[in-house]
Amino acid sequence: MSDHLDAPGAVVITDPTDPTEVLAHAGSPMGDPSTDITDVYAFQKPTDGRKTVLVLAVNPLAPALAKSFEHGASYEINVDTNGDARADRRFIIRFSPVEDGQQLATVRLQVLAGREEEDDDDEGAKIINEAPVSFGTTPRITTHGHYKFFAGLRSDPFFFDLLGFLDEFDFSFGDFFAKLNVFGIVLEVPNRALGRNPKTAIWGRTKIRKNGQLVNDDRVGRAGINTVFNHGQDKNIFNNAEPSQDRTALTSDGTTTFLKSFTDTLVTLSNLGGHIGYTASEAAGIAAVLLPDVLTYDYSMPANYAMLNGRRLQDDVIDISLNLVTKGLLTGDNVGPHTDYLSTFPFLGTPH
Amino acid sequence: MKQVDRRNFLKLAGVGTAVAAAALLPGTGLLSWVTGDVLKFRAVIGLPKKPLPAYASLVIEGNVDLDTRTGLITRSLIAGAPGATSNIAFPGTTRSIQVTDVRRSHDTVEIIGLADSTETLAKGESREVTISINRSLGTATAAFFGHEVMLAVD
Repeated sequence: MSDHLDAPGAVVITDPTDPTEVLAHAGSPMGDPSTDITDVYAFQKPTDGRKTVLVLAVNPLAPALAKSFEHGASYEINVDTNGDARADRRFIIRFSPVEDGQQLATVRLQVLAGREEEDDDDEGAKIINEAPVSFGTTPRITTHGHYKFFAGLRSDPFFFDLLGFLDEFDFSFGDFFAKLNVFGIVLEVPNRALGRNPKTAIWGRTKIRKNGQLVNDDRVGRAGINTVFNHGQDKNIFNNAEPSQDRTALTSDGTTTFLKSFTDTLVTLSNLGGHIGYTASEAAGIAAVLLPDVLTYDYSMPANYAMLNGRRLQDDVIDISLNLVTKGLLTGDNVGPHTDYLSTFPFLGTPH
Repeated sequence: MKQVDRRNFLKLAGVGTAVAAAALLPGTGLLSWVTGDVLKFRAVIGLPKKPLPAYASLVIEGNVDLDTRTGLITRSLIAGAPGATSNIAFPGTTRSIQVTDVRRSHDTVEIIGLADSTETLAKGESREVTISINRSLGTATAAFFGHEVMLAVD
């Protein structure tokens, strides 16, 4: 549940800073599982620091809820190259309809040069064409030039004692995700495809087609941000906003910014049970790091989530987050990384 | 797979068909005395508890014949907060409970049941289940794994 099963329904939105606009168009609170982003990862290729591996995991509990990628949807990995939390580059992954049990993927690299584009998602250089999706246990890998691509059913790399989290932080149930699967989209790209500036910010975005129009569905940068900090309709508002709006967008009460809401949550959670937690000022500083919700990633250095540099599969994001959010009141959930990660592409383990 | 299909059916990954069928969510959930002495109820609590945002809903619902002291209750952990629940149950968390006894006193109905023996229980979880429903308060008390929780009856 880094962000598992936390996607909204389709929302047509013209002004993400206006919560009444969002609520007026909010659809099902739970969207299409095939576009429900669970986690985003970005790390140097272990054997070649000149390349980066990007992972967009979707479809929690796969294939129980959705048996294929959604044709017509857009799966995107956004890259900000200049620190303004706006996409400067975007890897756009689209899937064909399933025919005879086969589904094909096309990947484009769209260079936006700092502008936000809404309607031209078909633009961009095609870097992977008609790559077969893997529905079985053997990964079908497509290579084109310096790019490598995989999409399909894999072991869910996320680890967390979900039941312990729900049962009053009694972290003794074990890893809820140990035997679960997701749909993984894995791209190996030359670092230069992320822009010249190695200091980037990465986030995943899915869009679904509604009345012939692509509309925002889910968005994830760091692990569990929306899950831990946002209540009710705020989850949908947050998913629909762009990272550049994260600090100033208003929550569903119409007056509180997400930055203020995050600050208040940090104060509350870190001061539980008499624990001496964050002051409002300290919490505001941390909230300003957590927002915008992007995965900061310097591709010139090995990734390490604890150092705010990308995210590897084995990074214990829950322990790091529990420690941070509670100011050391909770130090971990007593579960560690899975043992089924692969040392080579596509890195995600064999599906269960 | 069309979205409408997913919304109409409770998806229980890793749970048997019989349990899945028993766990279909009813359209209404009113605590009400329907025909005779049959108690039909649905009770919900968001988890984790406040101040954290609810991420899932514990839903306990069922039909209990107070006269014959029999019935079937389902306990499910559903994705989504109360009021915004999905039809997706977290795998391995649904229990089908056969009612074995009922005790009534004033506004309280205590239902005792036994979870299906084919279901694998989690740590700290007992096969014997007790659910206490207070009609005047509109609450239900039950165990969620290791801890007791109070649910609001719809």
